[in-house]
Parts: sequence; C-alpha cells; structure tokens
Amino acid sequence: MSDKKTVAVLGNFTDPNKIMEAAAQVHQSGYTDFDIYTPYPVHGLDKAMGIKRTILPYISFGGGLFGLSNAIFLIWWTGSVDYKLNIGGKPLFAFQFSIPVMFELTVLLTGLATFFGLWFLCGLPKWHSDLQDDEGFQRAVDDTFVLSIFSSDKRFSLETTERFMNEIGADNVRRIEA
Amino acid sequence: MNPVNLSGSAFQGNVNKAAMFCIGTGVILAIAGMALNQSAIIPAYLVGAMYVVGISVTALFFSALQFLVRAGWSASLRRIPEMMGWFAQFSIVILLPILLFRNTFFHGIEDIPSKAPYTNTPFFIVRVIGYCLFWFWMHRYIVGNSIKQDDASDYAPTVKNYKRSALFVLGYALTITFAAFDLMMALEPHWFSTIFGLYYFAGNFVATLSVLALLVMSVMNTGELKGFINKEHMHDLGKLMFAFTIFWTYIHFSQYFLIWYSNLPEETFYYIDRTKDGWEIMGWSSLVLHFIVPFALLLRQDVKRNQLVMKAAACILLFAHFIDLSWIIIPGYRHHGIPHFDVFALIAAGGMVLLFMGILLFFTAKRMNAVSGVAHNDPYIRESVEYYS
Repeated sequence: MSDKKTVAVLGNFTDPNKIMEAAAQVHQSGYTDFDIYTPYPVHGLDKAMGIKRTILPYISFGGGLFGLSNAIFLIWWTGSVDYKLNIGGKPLFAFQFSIPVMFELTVLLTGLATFFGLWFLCGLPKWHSDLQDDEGFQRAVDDTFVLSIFSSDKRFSLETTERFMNEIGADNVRRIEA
Repeated sequence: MNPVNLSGSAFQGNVNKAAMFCIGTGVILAIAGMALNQSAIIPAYLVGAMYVVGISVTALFFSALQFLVRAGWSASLRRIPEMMGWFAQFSIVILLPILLFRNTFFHGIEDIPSKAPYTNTPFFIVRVIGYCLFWFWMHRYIVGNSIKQDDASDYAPTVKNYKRSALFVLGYALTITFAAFDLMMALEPHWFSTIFGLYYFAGNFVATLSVLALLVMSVMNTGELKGFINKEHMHDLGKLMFAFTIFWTYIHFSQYFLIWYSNLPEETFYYIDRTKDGWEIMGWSSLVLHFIVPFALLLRQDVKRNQLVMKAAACILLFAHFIDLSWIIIPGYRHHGIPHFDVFALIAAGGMVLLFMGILLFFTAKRMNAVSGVAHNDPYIRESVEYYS
C-alpha cells in the first residue's frame, strides 16, 4: 500500500482532565489543525483548544436581514406596483399588514441561514471520514477522548508529532493512512 | 451546601440604599407632579400600583415556574425573586384606595347596563380581594415550602411545590389577566381586548426579570453569593429578558393589528385617543425603549455577560415598562382633567412608581434578615452551582 499517505496521528485519553491539559498543550505548541472527539460535551474544552468564536451568528443575521428586506419588497411591489387591488379600502402598502410577513420571512430566513450555515461551517454533508474505520476512534462515542492532529497542519511531521503525543500522555498513539 | 445569611451584608446595605433613594426621589417627584397637576393624583397612583403589584406577583410566578419545570439553572438564585415576592402579600394594602374610591378611578364603569353583571362594584370588590387572597396563598405556599426545604431532612416540601406549582401558574395567569381587565381596561368601559391581560403579563415579566438581573448583578459584585451565582446565571437572565422583550412586542402588535385591520369604531378609538394630543410621544417611546433599543443592546451573546450593558438594558426596560403603563392609564383620564399629554402627570406617575418600587426593595432587604440568601438544600442546587450554558 505504498500509495497511501498518513493523514493524521491519533491518541487516546481516558481522563477528561488529562484531555483538557493535552488540548491546552497542543494549542500552545502551535498546532492549529487538530481536533478532539469526546463522548459528551466537555465544557471549557473549546477555550483550551483555542477555538475562535464561530461566525455563524453573522450568517444568521445576514439571513435575517435578507428575509426582512425581501418581505418588504415582496409586499410593496406585488401590492402597490405590479397588481394594485383595493381591498376593503385599505392602503396599497402599509407597515401594519406587512409586519406579519416581515416577521415570518425574517424568522424563516434566519433559521434556514443558521441551519445551512452550520452545515457549511462543519463541512456537511460528509459521507466519509478517514478516521471512521479506526477502532480506537470509534471508542470516542463510548468512554474515550480521542485527540487527532492532522497532517495538513504546517507543524506536522510524523516523528516529532508522534513523540509529542506520547509526551503529553496519549495512549495508543497511531497513524491513520488513507 | 451551607445557608448564606444576608443579614447585615453589603448586599442588604446596597438594596436598602437603593430603596431609600427610590423612596426619596419618588416622594419628591410624586409631590411635585401632583402639585403641578392635581388631576394626576389618581392616574399616578394607579400607574404605581399596577407597576409594583405586577412585579411582586410576577416574582412569585417566576419562582412557581421554576418549580413547575424542575429548572436546574435557577435553583441558586431563586431565593431573590422569592424575597421580592414577599411584598405581594400586601397587594391588598396597595389596592385598597382603588377599592374604596372605585368610581374616582374608573369613571362610568357601571354605566353600561349590558356589562353590569360583571362590572358592578360588589362583584368587583370580591374579585380584587380574591386576587389578593390568591397571591397571599401563593406566597405562603410556594415560598413557604421553598424555605421549609432549607431545614428539611428529605425533599418533601419541594415535592409539594412540584405538585402544586401547576395550579399556581394557572391561577397566576387568570388573576393577572382579570386584574388587568378590572384595574386597567376598566378605564375604557366601552373598549375590550381579550389579549390585554397577556400584554400586561408580558410587560410585567420583562420588568421582573430586569429587577432580578439588577439584584443578581449587585450580589455578584458584593460577593455574598460567590460560588452560588455566577456569570452563567446572569447570561440566562439576559436571554430571558431578550426573549420577553420580543414577546411583549409580539403581543402588543397582535392587539394593535387586529384592531387596525377590522377598523371598527368601538375598538379603534382606544388607539386613536392614544396617538393624538401628544400621547403618541409615549406610545412611540415605549416601542423604542421596550423593543428596539433592548433588542439591539441584547442581541449579541457576549453583551449578556457584560454588566454595563445588562445594567443599561435592565434600567431602560424598567423605564419603558413605566412609560408603557402610563400610556395605557393616563390617557384614560382625558375627559377627567388631563385632556392631552402632560409632563407633570408623567412625573407624578414616575414618582409613584419609584416610591412603590422603593418600598418593594425595602421589604426585599428586610426579608434578608429572616431567610437564607440561597435555597441551599434544593435538590437542584448542585446542578445550579455547576451550571454552564
């Protein structure tokens, strides 16, 4: 299998406090392209890993603004430009009757932008992961914390990264090839 | 977990200072406003009474709601609304002048024969006393069991609250709705709106959360409840404040929208009278201060953990609730001495609100002598202390 390349180095941890320290050490030593898989949410892990705040709120806000402006335009253009109808003597355009549509479209587009923005930021849909066949990795849904440093990281080099993983206390340090 | 004695603490001192400040400025403003416009005495009293009764009773509702949903996050701060709710027992004292001088408060309320079976004075008095008795019982039961839990060896008092809190939440919904009908909608005997009670509740809940957030931030700064209350709790109060400002706007608009659309004179006059003669200043400012400004202020996640922004938002919302109630109540006296927007009437009403809120804070501080500052034996206290949002 000489055409296969190492894509990541994995190490397992069984103690949530150890994974916290390990995350901080990996972050401090300059790695950026690494990830940690845990069986349950570990609070504060994102801070230890140095993960930046997500831009998802801005995507949501943009979606909301888009929905709001679309709603105003839709009601105004259909009702008072394209097809004028006098309904019960009401004005052709008024904010009073536009507000429900404005509200609904803002909520809808904010929701859709958040949902699909999250998909985009997480790289979903993902049909296959190079890590999925590794038995140690599969234990991340049960009782193990798995640290993975990817070969796409600038600082990655097989031997040093493996030695580093052993130094910070990872068990079963192994290469994933694909 | 150990009980926290707030008696003689810096927090109690600060609440007392705030109470004295509110009472002092309140008395001065109320006397000045009432002296400059004597017709404002009645509406100003009504604004103050609705403001303080609403907040103290809603504080009890907040506690009952936490029991109803078995809330984990709020267990460590729940004693603060329970202290605020102590004042709800004395609602009858606040409402007594309204019972005694009903026809001075609500002109022409008995003049509509078809509504007389409901609006007659004896039934009105029975109803209002009924609400006050219910609130009295609500405090005795919910807060009483919460305090009994502090020294209990098992969780029997809390389980009692779990079982009964649904009844109290339902009873709160009914009493606050009919109190809004009997004490505010009655200003316009010909007018009716079924959503009016919900509108009053929405404003109350935002105002109660704002007072609660201010007290929580105050105790975070003095540090008596360190280890019990932290930024996570403040963040959650911010989320609730944000959500319920939107809820208030939603309810406000729902009422206005149906009346605007059906365009029936028997309904529209309420809004017509409140959007002319200068009253529109109050209507618009309540919309700006109760929705647009807090929405923009509290939208981001990090600002809900920032004391400066949260304090500003809470103060703006409390002021907006006062403007909102004044906008409902004071134009109701347009044929009885206040024909158009009058700044002295507003000052008098603001003074009464400050005075009554000062008394509420004074009682809250006094309550700290009697009970532990934290529900330290609550089954959820650990979850609340270690809570992470």
